Amino acid sequence: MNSFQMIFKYWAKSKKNFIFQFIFLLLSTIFYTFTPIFIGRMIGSLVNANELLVNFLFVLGFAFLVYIFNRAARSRGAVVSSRAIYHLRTDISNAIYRQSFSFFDKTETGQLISRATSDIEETQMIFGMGLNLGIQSILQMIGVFVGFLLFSFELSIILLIAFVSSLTISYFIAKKLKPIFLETRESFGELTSTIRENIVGAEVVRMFSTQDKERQKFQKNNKRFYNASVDSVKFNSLYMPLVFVVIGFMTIIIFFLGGMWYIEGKMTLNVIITLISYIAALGFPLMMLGQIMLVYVQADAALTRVREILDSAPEIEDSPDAIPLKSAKGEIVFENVSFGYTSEHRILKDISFKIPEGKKLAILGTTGSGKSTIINLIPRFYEINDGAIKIDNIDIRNYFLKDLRSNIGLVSQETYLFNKSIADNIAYGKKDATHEEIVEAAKIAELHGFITSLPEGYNSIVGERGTRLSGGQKQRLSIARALIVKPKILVFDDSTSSVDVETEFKIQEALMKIMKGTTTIIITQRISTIRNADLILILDRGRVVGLGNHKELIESNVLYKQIFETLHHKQKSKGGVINE
Amino acid sequence: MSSHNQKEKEEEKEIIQPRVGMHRHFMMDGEKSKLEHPRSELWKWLFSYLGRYKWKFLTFLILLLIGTLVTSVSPIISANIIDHGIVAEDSYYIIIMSTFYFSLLLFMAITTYFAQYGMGKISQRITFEIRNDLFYKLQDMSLSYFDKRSSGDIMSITTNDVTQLNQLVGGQFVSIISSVVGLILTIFIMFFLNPYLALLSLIIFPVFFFFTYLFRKVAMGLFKESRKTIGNVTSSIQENIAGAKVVQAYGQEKKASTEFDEANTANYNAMLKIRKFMATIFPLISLVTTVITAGILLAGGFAVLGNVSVFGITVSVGVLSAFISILGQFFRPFMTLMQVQEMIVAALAASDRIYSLLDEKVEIPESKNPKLLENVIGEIRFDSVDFGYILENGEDTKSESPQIGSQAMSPSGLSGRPDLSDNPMMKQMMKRAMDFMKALPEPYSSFMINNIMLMPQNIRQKLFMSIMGQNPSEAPKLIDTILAEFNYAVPGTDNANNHPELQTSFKQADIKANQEESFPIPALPPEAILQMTKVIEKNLKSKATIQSSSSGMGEGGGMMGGGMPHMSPQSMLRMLATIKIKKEVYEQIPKIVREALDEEKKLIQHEQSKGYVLKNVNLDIPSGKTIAIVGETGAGKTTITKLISRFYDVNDGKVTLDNIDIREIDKKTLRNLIGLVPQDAFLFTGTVKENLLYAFDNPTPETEKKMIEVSKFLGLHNFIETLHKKYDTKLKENASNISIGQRQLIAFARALITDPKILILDEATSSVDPYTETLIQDALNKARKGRTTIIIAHRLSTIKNADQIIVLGSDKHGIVEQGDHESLLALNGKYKRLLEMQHRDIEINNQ
Repeated sequence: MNSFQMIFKYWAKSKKNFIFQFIFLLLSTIFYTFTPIFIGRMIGSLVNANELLVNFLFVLGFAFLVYIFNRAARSRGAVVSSRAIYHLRTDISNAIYRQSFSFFDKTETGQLISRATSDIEETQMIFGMGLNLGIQSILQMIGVFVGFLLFSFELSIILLIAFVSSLTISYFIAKKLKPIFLETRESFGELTSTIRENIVGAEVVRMFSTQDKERQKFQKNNKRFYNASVDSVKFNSLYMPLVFVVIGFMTIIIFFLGGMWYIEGKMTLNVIITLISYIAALGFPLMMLGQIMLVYVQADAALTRVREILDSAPEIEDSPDAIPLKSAKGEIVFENVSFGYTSEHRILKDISFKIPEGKKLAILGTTGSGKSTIINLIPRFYEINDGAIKIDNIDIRNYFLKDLRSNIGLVSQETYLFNKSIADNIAYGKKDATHEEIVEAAKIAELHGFITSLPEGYNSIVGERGTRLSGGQKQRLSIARALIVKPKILVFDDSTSSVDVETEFKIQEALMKIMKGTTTIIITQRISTIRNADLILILDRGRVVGLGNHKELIESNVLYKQIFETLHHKQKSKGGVINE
Repeated sequence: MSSHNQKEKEEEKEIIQPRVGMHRHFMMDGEKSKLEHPRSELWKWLFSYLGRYKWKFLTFLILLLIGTLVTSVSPIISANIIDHGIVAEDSYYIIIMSTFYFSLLLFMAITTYFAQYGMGKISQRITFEIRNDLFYKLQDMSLSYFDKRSSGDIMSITTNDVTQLNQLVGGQFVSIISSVVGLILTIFIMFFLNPYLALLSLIIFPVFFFFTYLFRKVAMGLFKESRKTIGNVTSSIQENIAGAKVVQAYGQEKKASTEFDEANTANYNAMLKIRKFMATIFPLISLVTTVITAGILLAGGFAVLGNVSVFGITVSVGVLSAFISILGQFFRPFMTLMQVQEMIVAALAASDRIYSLLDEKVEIPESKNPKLLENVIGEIRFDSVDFGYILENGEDTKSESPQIGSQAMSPSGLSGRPDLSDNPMMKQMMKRAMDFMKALPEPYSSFMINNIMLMPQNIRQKLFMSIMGQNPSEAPKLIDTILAEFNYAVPGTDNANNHPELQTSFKQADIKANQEESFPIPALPPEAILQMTKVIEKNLKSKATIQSSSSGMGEGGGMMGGGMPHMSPQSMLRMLATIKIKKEVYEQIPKIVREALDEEKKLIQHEQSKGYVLKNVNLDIPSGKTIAIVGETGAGKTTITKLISRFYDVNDGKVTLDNIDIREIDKKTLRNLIGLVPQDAFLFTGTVKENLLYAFDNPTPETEKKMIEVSKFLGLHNFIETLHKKYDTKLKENASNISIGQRQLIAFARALITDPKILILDEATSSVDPYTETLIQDALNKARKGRTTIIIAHRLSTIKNADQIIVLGSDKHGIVEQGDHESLLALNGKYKRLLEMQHRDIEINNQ
């Protein structure tokens, strides 16, 4: 679909109004073109008072008709254009939610936001005035052409040539402008990203005193945007002068040829004057066509970017014969799973393991060995390349996505909180959560005490990106958020790394109680957690290099033994001092 | 006919959407349309940018006006061609004049092109400069500026607001100027042609004033509404995009869509209202102008017909026909001016926000004679340091962000415990009182300012309770009445003149009498207290619960806005909680109120301590030593590191480096000495190498060698080698393509490459796996040599080797224990408790 079809598609969202708008617009334009005739007649009828009065009344009558139809057309148009924007926004917002995680990994947040907001704003003009202006100017141009045809065939051919050539030039200008507008949109997005990065990373910039470096970087981007903007001004300033030239050209042609024909007696003075005034009337439709072309190109650039989101098919969808999963038992099986974020680079290779229902798996491995990746595959945030993941002995690709995910409570390493109250954030996944449930979850996550110390307690607003909360508090909040859903499968991705030892211990104890009967997967660096797990998975560069419980591994797995002893030795030696 | 076209052309501008921004401040914009700066100042500021291009601007403006002139002259030329060329059958004349006419139009086309292009370029250039200035300014800002504002707001200023200005400079300026010039020119021509018809045409003025008024009244509100709703749409989109992964993980797509739909529908309704309004008013204006034109023609026509002369002026057919096109030119500027006003209001609001940012004072200023240190030893000392993020140096507390912990406290009238007088909240109250006094008319203003501290407290109290929050112009009457009660009067007023018995000054003796009590007011009379408790009781009973007082007075100006007579029950409660109430009075207070009072007291204590993160902290870090800071979340560990780097300035006391106050040291020099590895490892979009060498402007082969050396040292090199482009691998936004542990390692290496004299590690390896951490520990043990090192860690294993360990307590706002590992264990205090926690982890394993 191109932008042109897209605009019509969204106009047609309110079909009835659109049709009526079109009809009323036609009527009002027709009556509008009659009004000047009667004004002209008023001057022509300056010999007879009655005729003058009659013509005056005609002018009033037509003006009134124009008013009625124009108003009706605009009222309908108001609905049509507002609806169009509304639907476009809804569609893009829904399209964003449909995307899989890899889409968000690929696309910069800043660019996504600017497509969903400022790019749509760029289309307001074409949706709002495109139809009105388009119809009016085209009708008027046709009117002028018909007028010419009535008086002189030769001149109307010349007019046609003028039309065609000016439209062709406009078209080429528009064509030239499209990449420029795209460049302005792109560079503006870039500019926004730079600013955003400098706000988020303000501390690092100050730490390294690299303000000047950042300034240069910004100035480069700013300059790029400036150049693109000036380029666009350079070309779109061409329209108006072009119209002047066309009109000027037609005027002298009429004067020249008409003058000659008059002298030869082939044309009357009245005709020349009428034709001249027709040409003068061309200024508006030509200018407006140029304007529309400009607005269209602008919208085209924006819509092209918007379509990239609308048209990108979600990689992960419900399969056509998906089955529901009300409450999972919680058995998880990985069968020869391979996965890579890009097709050429596999992160996980041939992973197989099985967690029986209600058991606890701990994953160990070096930084970058693929621990978090394994976890992200279970809720089907990414689609695996090979093998199968099964829950309750059925491939997860066969479940409804929503059902699958509602059975899994994931506490990820990075915490995103919404700019809402603490209570709303905790209850995010559970619409009908009672206050008691919220408090209960907060208590398990060791957050209740902190929350009640706030002046507004559970109603305190968390703030943008959870600022004003420390890293540990954010992590605890996201634990509470996962717990309140009471999922059958709980996944913790190193989710207490920023929590202090004392608090972490309390959380662990509380979790221990509620995790009974819940299948749990934990990525951690804590010995006690690892030791207590029913199953330990050791990952190295995307491969399983050890699988079993503590007892088995400590005897059979050299690597595990080594790791465990280092860890144990380190912690023990520190703790051991107490006994001295 | 052309007249109508031009009219229509202008008419079509209306559909231009109000330029809408990305973030929240547009919502606030809707509520408070007041600008922070006077308009004149904003215009002056804008013109200071335009001033740089004034000759160019004038040139292009003149070019544009030439174009306008040619348009108005062209009918005369065509009339001449018809009369002298065609009618006179002079083909030579036709050729000459046609060629002349065409070249004139060609000339106009060229001037118009250059004028438009030039104007556009100037306005782009100006916005380029403003954007640059904004960004430069942002780089000067201290971190506290970013703490206080949401990134969306700052971004909206630097992008949308500037775009709005671009439209003002590039579009509206020019149309205003050419409209006004065009209008004057047209009126002049009209009167020149026919004063009678011209006078008749002036009827347009009241008509258009009416439309302008109507437009202003209705459209402004509608536009505000639309901006407010689009602000909601945008922030809803922003949040749901940023949190898209969470939305999906919790399967809340529907909830997010519903929320978005609410905002979207609100904006749809607002836009529909605007468009419907436009659909009503513009056809109406069209109708009215046509009617006026026809009416003038009719009146003129009758004048022609009857050959009537009005004031001795007759109307000719030619003049009448000329008037048709002239009237079109006459209506046009009105239309333009009508529509431009909304844009100007919006642009002014935008420039107000931009100007505020540019005008913001830099909170961490460079010293006047910054010291450039050489041969730094690296000894750091904290000397009685007080610090709080929401406290401002030497000024009143202004908590601007409606975030947790910074709820604007609402001091409640001018009563307070003496020990509150150095409290920032008290300072704020005093400042407000001062401002109020300054606002009074003379001689009341100077009288109050000079005498307020001399007054007996009962008078002072009564005065303030009555007049605060009143209109300053009405306050004098009250002052007179109250002072008269106590037999005083303000000198130079009628009251003083008519009643010589009243005293006009307060004696020194009066202060002595209540010297033991400092500002401002002593205990309230018991009757007043009981009166207030009654109000509170009534309120408590009716509402069952009393809202937390901080929200109760959240409305702007709530503090003084109320004054005593209009004080809300919440503020009364707050007030009573801050004063001492005698025991016998306290006993008379109903139980329900007493309980509320106790609650309130707790809350106040909580709020007061809230501001301070560190209080009276003394700390000595000898050169070349390693200290570790431990303590629970929120105890101020990170704050200490930020103070050393001078991201924030202390509120009291000082931080020194080699015995020099760091505020005297050149900021860049200071920060170059420090290698800070912050908690959340922020990396820039760019390659791994660019990030590692971030501190260097021009990396040399040596620095690259150093980079690889450090990477190997930290065990990072092997990981980087596995990346598909190694050191040239591009990191995405927020480095989302590598794990957090890897990000931390890169941030660590980035700091170490600069070979800092002082190394600060703030939870630098919290997400690194234990094996890599072991590696880093060994590396760190080597790296520490010759460096002053400060380590913050939760894992006590990281800490033990430190020369000194500092234990922070959040309730104490400072150091609770200090010493080396063993001496701290011997203390048997908090440190040991923290350690035992760690120990228990191992105990479980050994069970």
